Amino acid sequence: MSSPRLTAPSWSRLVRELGSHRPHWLTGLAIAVLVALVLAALLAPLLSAHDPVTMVPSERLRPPSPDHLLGTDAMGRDLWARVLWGARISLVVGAGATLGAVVIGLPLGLVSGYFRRLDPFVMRVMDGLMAIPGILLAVALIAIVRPSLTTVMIAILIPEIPSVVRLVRARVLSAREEPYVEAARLLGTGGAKMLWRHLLPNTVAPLVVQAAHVFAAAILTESALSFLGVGIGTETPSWGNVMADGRLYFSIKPALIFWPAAALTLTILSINIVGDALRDALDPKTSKGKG
Amino acid sequence: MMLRFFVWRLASAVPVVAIIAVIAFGLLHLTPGDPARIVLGENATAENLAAVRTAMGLDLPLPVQFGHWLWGILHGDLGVSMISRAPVSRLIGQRIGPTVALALCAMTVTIAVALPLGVLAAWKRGALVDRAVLALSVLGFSVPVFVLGYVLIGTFAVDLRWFAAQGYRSPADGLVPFLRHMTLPAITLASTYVALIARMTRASMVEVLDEDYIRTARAKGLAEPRVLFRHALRNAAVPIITVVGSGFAMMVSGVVITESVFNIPGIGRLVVDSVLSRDYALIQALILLTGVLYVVINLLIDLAYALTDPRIRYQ
Repeated sequence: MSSPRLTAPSWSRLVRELGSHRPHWLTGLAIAVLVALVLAALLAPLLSAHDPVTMVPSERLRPPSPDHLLGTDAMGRDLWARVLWGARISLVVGAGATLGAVVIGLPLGLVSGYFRRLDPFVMRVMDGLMAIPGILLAVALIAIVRPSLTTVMIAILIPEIPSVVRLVRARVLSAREEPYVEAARLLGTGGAKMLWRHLLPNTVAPLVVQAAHVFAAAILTESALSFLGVGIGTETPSWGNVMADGRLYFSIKPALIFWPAAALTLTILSINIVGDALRDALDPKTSKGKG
Repeated sequence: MMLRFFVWRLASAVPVVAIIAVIAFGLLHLTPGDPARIVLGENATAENLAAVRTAMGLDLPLPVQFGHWLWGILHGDLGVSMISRAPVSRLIGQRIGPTVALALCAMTVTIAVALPLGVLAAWKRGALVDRAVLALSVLGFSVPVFVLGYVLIGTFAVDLRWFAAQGYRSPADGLVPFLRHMTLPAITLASTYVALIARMTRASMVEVLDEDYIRTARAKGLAEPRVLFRHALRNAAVPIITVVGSGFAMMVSGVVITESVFNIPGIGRLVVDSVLSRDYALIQALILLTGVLYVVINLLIDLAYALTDPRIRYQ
């Protein structure tokens, strides 16, 4: 078991712990990839001379050239532009879904861990949600509401909520046993203050790690939905629907699938590497040995 | 004691199943939008809308509708497809074969690859092999199922022509055609699972290998493979099997995508088709069935533990 802690973890301590770690070169590389990705998404209109959705029938399936860096697809659209613009959708949906899952999951987890009488109800709902495969739930939600950026985001974030709730609840349950929480309770600290000052800070470190995993999962689900044809409409390029468009021409021009697939894989890989590095840096189990 | 555990565990699954039923039902009925209008399209007349509403029972109070739906399901009636008018159970029955074959093949690949890799990594902890397995599992988590599918198709079906790129053959058509069509999808579907289970096997084995009885087994001169697989792996099995159970939902998501990439006429394709045609009766039934299957699988795993390990019963 962990040694008894007398004070709640604080933000400043969290930052100190992060700062004391020299990142592995692979983590540095992954961070660089993610920074480049954000820049590419922000600057997409400047980085590509072509519009990602304008079809030019005379320019169908062109090979790479200085004008079309990665060539064109079967509709004569510039592949480079489509992959760049696809990064926007992935990042926006990923960030939005992660934020939503945390904003909904965190309070539910706190309440479930602290108010024990509410716990069974919240947890049974979470068990039910977890039993339904994420893609199935997302796909069904999208079938009912009209697909748009917001609805796709909501459909993706709902299956991610249980993992956040379970994590926060578990941390709250173990923090309740800590001496400083006991002490605060004896001093008469009540519900809201107890949650805010003493229990919430305990959940931050693992929540940051979990958020990284949710971010990766959300981007993955968005691309899968678009690939299946039930995501954001085809008028908005996303890595998933760019790949889906390339399917028919796969044997003639594999590049149509290769580039969006490579962008997607590299993104997920980088997020997972950063997530694992965060876990190693923030997890008290691994950092204790060094402290 | 055993009986009490069985009853208690069974009872705790009931509310979860109830919640799944509410979610499956509520998806269609609690979200904004008129199901009748969705079935008929934007240009439906008021008369037609009213007729469909009555036919679907949408004019009844919600709890009554839920009751009807649940009553039907408890009697084995999953409803009727809104599009083809065929019974949902028949539609699912037609598609279940390829999916079961795919899932079983993927499970075989997973066990054959993930367990030895995880054991090897734990045995050679910190060595190059261990890092390679870790890197492989990070890759397995990060390469999307459909990306891996196309990499495999491009390499082994289009370039090398070893396997078929698309479609499905039943095992009844002969083992060779079946494996020609099934090998690539099975590897594709197994990839995430292999990553998950190799990681879990390693973690669980690392703990077990530090135990005293492993030292005893080695000290009495047992061959190392026997120590690893007979003594250590057996004791490391509980968390691994738990992950197999909780990974079932992930597996179903993978099935949906894999069947789409390889054009396999299974349940996964049925899911996508039912969504594209907005066949809500079918979607509801599929959500309910996969959810309940998940609960049942995890229930069986828990009961199996209790049968083999008395410590769990007394907790």
